[in-house]
Amino acid sequence: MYARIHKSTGAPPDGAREAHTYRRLAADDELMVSLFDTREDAAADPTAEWYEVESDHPGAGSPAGVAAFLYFDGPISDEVHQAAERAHRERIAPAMRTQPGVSRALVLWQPQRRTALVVSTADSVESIEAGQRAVATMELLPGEDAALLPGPDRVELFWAVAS
Amino acid sequence: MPGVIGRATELTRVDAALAAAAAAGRGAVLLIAGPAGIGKTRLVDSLVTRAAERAIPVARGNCVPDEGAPALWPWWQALADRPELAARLDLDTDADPGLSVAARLRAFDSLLRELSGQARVIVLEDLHWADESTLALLRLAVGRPGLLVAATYRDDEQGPALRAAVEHLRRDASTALLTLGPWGDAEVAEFVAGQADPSWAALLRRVSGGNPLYAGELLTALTAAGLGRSPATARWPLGVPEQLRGIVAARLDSLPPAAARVARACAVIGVDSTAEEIAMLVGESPDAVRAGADDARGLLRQDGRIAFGHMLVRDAVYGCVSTSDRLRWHRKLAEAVESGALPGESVTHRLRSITDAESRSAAVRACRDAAGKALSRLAYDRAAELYDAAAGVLRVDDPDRVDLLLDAAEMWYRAGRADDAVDRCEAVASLDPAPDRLVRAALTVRGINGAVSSRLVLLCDRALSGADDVGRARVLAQRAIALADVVHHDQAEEPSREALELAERTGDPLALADALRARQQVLSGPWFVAERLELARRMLALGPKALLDGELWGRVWRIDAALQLGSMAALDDELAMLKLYADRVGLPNALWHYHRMCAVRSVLLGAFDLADEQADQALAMGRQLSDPSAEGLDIPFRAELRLLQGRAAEKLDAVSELVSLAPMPVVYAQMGRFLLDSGDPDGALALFERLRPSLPDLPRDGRWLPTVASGAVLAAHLGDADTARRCYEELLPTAQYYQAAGSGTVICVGSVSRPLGRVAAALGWRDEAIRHFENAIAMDDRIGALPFRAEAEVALAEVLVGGGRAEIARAGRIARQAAVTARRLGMPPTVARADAVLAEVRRAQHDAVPLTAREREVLTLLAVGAPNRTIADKLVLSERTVETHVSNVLAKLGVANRAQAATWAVENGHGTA
Repeated sequence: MYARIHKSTGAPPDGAREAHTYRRLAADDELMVSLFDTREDAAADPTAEWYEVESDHPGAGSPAGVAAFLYFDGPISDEVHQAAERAHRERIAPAMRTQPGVSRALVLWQPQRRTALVVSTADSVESIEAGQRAVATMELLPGEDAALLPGPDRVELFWAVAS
Repeated sequence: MPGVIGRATELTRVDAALAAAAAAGRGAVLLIAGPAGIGKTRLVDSLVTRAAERAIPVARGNCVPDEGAPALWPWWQALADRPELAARLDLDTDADPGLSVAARLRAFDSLLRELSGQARVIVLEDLHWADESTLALLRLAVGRPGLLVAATYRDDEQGPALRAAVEHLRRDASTALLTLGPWGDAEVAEFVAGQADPSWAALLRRVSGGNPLYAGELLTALTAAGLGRSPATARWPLGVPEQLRGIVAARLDSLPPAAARVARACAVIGVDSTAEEIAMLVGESPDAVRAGADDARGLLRQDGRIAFGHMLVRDAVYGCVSTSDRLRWHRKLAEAVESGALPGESVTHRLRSITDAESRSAAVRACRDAAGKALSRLAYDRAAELYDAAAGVLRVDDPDRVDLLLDAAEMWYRAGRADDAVDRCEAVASLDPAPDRLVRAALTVRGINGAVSSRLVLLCDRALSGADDVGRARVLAQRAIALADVVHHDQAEEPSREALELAERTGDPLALADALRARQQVLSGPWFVAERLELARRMLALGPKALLDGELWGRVWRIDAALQLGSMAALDDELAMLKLYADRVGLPNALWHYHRMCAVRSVLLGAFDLADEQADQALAMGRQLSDPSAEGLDIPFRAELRLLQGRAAEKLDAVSELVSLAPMPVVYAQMGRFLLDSGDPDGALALFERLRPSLPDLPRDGRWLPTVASGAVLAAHLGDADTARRCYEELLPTAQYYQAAGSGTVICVGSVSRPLGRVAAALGWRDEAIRHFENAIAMDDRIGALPFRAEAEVALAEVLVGGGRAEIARAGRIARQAAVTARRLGMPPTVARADAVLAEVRRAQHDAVPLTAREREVLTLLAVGAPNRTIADKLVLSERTVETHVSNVLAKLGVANRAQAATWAVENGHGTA
């Protein structure tokens, strides 16, 4: 699976399986997150950023009202990337499955820039915050090391507008 | 004898020192050196008299050559009237030796602080017999307000400890060294005047060599022979003894037998003694003894105690004591001391009364007792000497010698004399002792790198066979650490893994700690950063029961790893924990590391002034450790910082000093790049030539990354494309790391992508260069490494400016941003480079606008505000034509009116080319 993040154009792009529109909180601009089957399709727009979908986990919550974009600036080293992958797969995703209000977490990886983006959706801003707090206070699994898990560099909030 | 003869210069310095002390200004240490008998004590006596005249209190103490003399003896004497202060010299030694050293430093410091403030003089004599603790306290006494310490020593009998102490003291500007030389003709003449015929002066000077004590003894001998008043003979008169020993022996012979016996007994007891002590030896009453001492007036002085005028005289008299008397008397004294009848230590006496197996054992016992006392005073050097003495009296094949040698080795190690310690361990190994002793011999010297490592490997090899599991685990771990120092890095990998496996199997904390250290050393290359984090975590989990400084290692390893990964939160956590640990245990070593890493962090984030402060604190700590590597590490750190600040010239001398002191690839690489970037390509080339041969086989250890990163840049800029390309390939996998070393980062200069970019740019690989610089900017921006982000921005702009319009515009934007950051942080060279790019951008943008020659002329006049008519007149054109030109110019420039055109012209240097 591949994703493309681009300025919202109203209609979903050609070849997209899914497309979700988000409007930035306290602003006017809108972003669209579209999912594609192939890399070529996702990368077809030279003005937009394309990603590999590393994981796509459903949560317990109802259809989303809010989305948090967690940016992990790069280039990220192998060790940190692997540690983050493992953390998400073995610790965070299982926990988020039962976290109230949290719906979906798309973990995206840009292999050329070596940056990551997590699009996490929930029913409300409060649910997003509760979810973030839960992740931040979780005990690490044996073998995990805080030094390899630096956390997101920026977090931005959006309203879910259309799907 | 009369007052001081000669020594006018020295007395002036003494007066100056006293005046400074009286003003309670910055205190000083006055060192008075010279051979035995040259008059050091006499000068000191003058100092004491002059101090009394100024009402400055004086306290005196002196070192003695006896084995049994306790550590800090002269200080104890000097503080005799302040017992509550003297008590501070006794420390609680139940704690770990490492802690005790730190505690001792604190105790010394607080003691000295009590002694400063008002004017005071402390005299310490005969430092050539001083123990290390005495010297340690003296070293700290420098610069204490109001405190003048005058210390004498025989400069021809200095041991290594005294030499080091003198060197340390002389680094302080207020320390004065007065080296007393022999008397000249005038002084000898002055001395002879009134005591003998003046014609004797020349001969006296020749025979005595100008040594005052010797001259005095010769004169006395002359007088005793009745020749003093007659004119001098051509050579020394036959029959009058010339050597000090002969003079003293003659004097002894001329005394009444009872007086001579008193003198001899006094010499056996020590430098001075009481009438009661002498009485016990010679079997007379104390009063008779005093009468005898009176008769021996030329040799002995009496004022409560009975003493010799000078140590040399005592030595000469001792030489005149018969062997049987010596043995008998020393034994008597030993027994008297051990039964409590006499004060002092029995060690010296026991050592000098060995006649049979029984007295030999008694001597060994006395040595052990005295060594134990020395140990409790943290006088490791004293204890070591005592164990050595005990081992020395036993026969070579005596099994007890093994343990004594091992104890001596342990003490030498703790005294900081690793070579002496290893000597003893090797001696033990050659005696073929029991396996557990071999293990102890192999493990005595720990944590020292350098020349001893190869010897330690051999000791470990010997100890491996026959050792039990725990012993084997520890020895294997010790061997792995030493091996990592000796062989090429790759060869140490297998032994370190084996050691760790065995340590894990036995679960012995000490073996584990050592094995972890060995493993960390082997895995110190950048590719093993995750493993190193794990090793550090395990070291921290072991706790203090394994190694006192285990936590220090763990924190430092994690700090290096966090720097390499750019995990700033983890870095700050570990620094905070390190500070807590350092404060808790008070280890100067830990504080040094803490301040050092804080300075590294500050430079990384652009807080240059703070970085200097923190580096100063680190340096002060390092000097306290008397560890030369502390100063060594400071140089490359400051050099890099000064380079960023445009003050590289300040560090050129230090850099060349470093290169000669530490001829290692990493130094050649880093300092070579420093020279390159500070505008000395020839110097850089010279260092690169020295670096190049070692590049192919560079050990893949913690120093690899900084060496190759700088080496690649050097190669690329100095025209060695092959080497540059090879280094580039090897460096590429580490592009996402920051420039930290896996084994003690000296300075972190941002992302590895930046040097990669520099190499690519120099080799003409434009696209790669751009990509690397963009990555570097993103990486340095993420962690807030502003100085290095600015450097990468400028470098990127420099590459972009050679491209098309869009790239040129981008170059301008980036250079502008970099200039702002660089200006704010105080990085003039970077500002200059950014400004140069901006000038080029302006020029390119100016030249990019396709104005015709005529249009340019019009613009030039337009820019100075000329109206169309004036332009028409000047250029001999019609106004209509000028109007057309003007509107074309406005269109081409993309501006709306003449004013904007004028602004464009100024901004883009139009008419200034």
